[in-house]
Amino acid sequence: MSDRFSPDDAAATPTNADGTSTVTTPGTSSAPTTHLSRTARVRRWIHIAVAAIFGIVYAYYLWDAIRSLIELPAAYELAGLSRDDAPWSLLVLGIILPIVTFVGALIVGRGRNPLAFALILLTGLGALAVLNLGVIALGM
Amino acid sequence: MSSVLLVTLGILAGIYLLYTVGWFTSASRNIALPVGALDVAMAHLREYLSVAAPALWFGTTLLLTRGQKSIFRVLWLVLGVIVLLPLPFVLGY
Repeated sequence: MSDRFSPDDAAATPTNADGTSTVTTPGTSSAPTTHLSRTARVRRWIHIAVAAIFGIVYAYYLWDAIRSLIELPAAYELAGLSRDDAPWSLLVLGIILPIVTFVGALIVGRGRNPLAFALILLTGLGALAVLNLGVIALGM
Repeated sequence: MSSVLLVTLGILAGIYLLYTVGWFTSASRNIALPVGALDVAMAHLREYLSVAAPALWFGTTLLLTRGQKSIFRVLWLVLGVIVLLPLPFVLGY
């Protein structure tokens, strides 16, 4: 796996079997180690920034689904239909999809370089768009 | 790369190509029209993303599973075949 980071990122603090950390005191490490951990910190912040930028789009589709869940049953009532006639399973599915695709993309992209991470989040958005349109089609 | 894997990837690429055609066909037929600039923009983005999704999934999978076991790569592509099924096209929308 050439695009994954060296283990210093994910497994920065190895823990013993009893749960105590073996690396506890910062500042006692040698200079190269400090440099590595700083690189790891920068990488982490780049990851968070990339996730946040794509997260805004995922969040919109989540908000859109929540709005549908609130507005569609109300529209059914206004049209003289029962709230039970609303496609509840599809409305709930619409809320689950953005969460599942975003978390899935985060898990798959964990520990990869920022470009690969962004590509995975974009692919996740594609999957979300496809599944969303599928849910809309099922509701028609 | 074995010939069996090559044929498998060829078949999968064909399915992904058909999916792209399916999503492209139904994207222009989408009758769920929102009001408001942001909602219209995001609905359009969703259509563009749905057309690009098969290519994105195929490309990302092949790119990021380089050097890994063939079965792992094929399974990711099979998962894409399940996830990216063009339901609106299949249902006739």
